[in-house]
Amino acid sequence: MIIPFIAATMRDVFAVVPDLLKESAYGMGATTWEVMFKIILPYTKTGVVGGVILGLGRALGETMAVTFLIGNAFNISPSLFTSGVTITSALANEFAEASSELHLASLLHLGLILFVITFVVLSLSKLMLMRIDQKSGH
Amino acid sequence: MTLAPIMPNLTPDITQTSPSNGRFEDRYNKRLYHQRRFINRLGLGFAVLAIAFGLFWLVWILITLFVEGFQGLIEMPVFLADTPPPMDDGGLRNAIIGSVMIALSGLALGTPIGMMAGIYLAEFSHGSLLGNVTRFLNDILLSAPSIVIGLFVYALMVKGQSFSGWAGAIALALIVIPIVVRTTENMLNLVPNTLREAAYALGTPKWKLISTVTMKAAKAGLTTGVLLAFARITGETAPLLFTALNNQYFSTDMSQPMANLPNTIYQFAMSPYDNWHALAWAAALLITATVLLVNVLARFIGSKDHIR
Repeated sequence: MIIPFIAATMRDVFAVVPDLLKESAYGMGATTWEVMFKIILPYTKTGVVGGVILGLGRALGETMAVTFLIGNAFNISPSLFTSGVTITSALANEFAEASSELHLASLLHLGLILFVITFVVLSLSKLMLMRIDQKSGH
Repeated sequence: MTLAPIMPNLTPDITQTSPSNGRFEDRYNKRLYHQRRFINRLGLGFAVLAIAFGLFWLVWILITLFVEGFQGLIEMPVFLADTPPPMDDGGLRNAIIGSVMIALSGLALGTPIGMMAGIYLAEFSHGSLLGNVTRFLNDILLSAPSIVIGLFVYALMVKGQSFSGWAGAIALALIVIPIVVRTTENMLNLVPNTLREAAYALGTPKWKLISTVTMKAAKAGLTTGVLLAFARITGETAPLLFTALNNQYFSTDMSQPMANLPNTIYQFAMSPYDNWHALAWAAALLITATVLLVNVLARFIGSKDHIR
């Protein structure tokens, strides 16, 4: 689910590189791959990292696809192939049925933790993407 | 064809065997050339492989969805009956109606607010602190986990009262707002400044400039933004989970729990009953088809504006 999202962000980020730079490199006889690695990637470094982090932010908040598949077992398992639980899946599975006040409050707290994590991650990516946007200004 | 008389060989010879003048094909560094060409092809090959990998899953998902979904559509009276109890025939009428009502009211609540904020950002906040902070937070809200929005609306409207269609609509409106703000601002920024200056020169007040000149020039783009927001919220499950909940019966009362397609899919797909599985596939197909249709429509409107 992250592939199309990151692909779209990357396309926007790469579009920021001025044609002049790319054309100069091609004019000197660089291959497509060399232009990609020696011109475009150094120019858009922060944007690329920002885009990947944005993808991470999306993945953290993904609820339904994870809830369907993770199995919702409340244990910490070292293996990624056994069932486990994520913040989002725990919320989706239990929230509507939470009866006691404490259960409800702890689930809301879980939501707060998730929000703080994604807020930090997304702010980071936003700051990085903003630096790339400034570059496109001139 | 010899280049030598016109262009003397400026680069020092790397290999002893290459002559200092003669045909270009004899003079370049063959090993380096082939190596660069090989790396180039290798890189492009991997890029193509990555595309193929992404498309492979997409196509597989779509094929499975269409096969299973159409089976469900054929087997069950999807549009005519309400959601059935387990092991019984039935349809999705209440869920379809509920989904449409919640999504449309969410859109109706979110669009005006989003558009106003977008207009403020594009036309009034010229580098002001409020504008920059709003833009930053809006972009974060754009990717914020939708389940957190569901939790927020739960604490706001459902706790102590009851699950209701309105709560669902407000949760969806909170998702619509950042999308509309973003597209509105972008589209208004695309309007050439000469148009604004021309209107100012005629003595137009700012509100009239925005409502009759810039908004009109960006109309297609604004419509696209609203359509994309609609496409996004039709598939949202998480915010409806704690707000609209679900309803087994047909109801158009927005102050009561309401059936909706995403939650019906969730409930039916996790169940062990075959008829519920078939209905879940049919519902998934309906949502996908709607999203696809709305996206194509948005692209169409957007591209028409671009050509003009």
